[in-house]
Amino acid sequence: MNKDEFLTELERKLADYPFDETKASIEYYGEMIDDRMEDGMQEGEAVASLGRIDEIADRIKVELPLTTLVKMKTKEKTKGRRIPVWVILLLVLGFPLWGSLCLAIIAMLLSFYAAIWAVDIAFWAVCISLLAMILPGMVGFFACLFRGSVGSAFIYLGSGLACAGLGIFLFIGMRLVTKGICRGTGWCYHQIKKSLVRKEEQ
Amino acid sequence: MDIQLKRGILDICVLSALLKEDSYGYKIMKDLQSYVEISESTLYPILRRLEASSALKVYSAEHNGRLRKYYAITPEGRERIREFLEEWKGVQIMYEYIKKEMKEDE
Repeated sequence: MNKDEFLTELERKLADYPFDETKASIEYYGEMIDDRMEDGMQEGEAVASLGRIDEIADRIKVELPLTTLVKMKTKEKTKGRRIPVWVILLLVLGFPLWGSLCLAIIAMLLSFYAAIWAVDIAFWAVCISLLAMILPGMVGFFACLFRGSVGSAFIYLGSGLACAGLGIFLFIGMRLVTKGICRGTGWCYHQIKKSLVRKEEQ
Repeated sequence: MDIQLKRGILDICVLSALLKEDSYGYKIMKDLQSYVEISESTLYPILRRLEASSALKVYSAEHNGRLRKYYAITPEGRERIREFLEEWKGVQIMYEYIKKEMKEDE
């Protein structure tokens, strides 16, 4: 395969996607082939070393925003095909059924996600209250010391410090957990996009 | 390695390759090759992403009678590298700890 064939094929694979994206990709891969040839490779060799076109196209698609992917996917599915009237009729009439079912599923997934954050926030609250325990601890310590009960004073100080210590540990842990949840969210988002791209290829 | 993690680090590697001078796709790839496995199809989305988040700027310049795209790092890009180094101090400490414990175990 030579450079022009490669670029035409890639353009064809990305034809349904935003024009700017396609143009930028074609320019990039064209330049890559030129640079390789300048580096001493034969044209065919340079093209072959880029890898499979399908894979390259997939990589480009996964990076597009989710909304663009969904839009392009529905466009691809209905391309050249007219939806029969009875299907539209069925979809409209059935909306109270499938609409509410879909809503229920989405609501369930969202509430599950919200629950994860709720637990996270709850633990943060515990963490902050533990850290705040140092204040009553100190107040109690000085108050008891002032009244002459040294024993109680140190109990106050000790428990205040112990709580704050636990709070610090929890703080370190919670930072990691919260970061993890954020990363997980990003991962899920990427997986959804990936599955959309994969399905298109089939 | 965890894909999400690798993605983040690769972004920083690409930005670092632009610290000394502006560079172009093929050269970035060659410069990075001795440190990390990276192909054109991996590099391309990274460059697009970095451009979109204004961590780098793209401009075209003539080279051997054709236009070539050059990439330049922006102040935002430098800031991203700094943040990365700061964040990874913690990871390094954990790494040393794990290595030490493992050594004692063997």
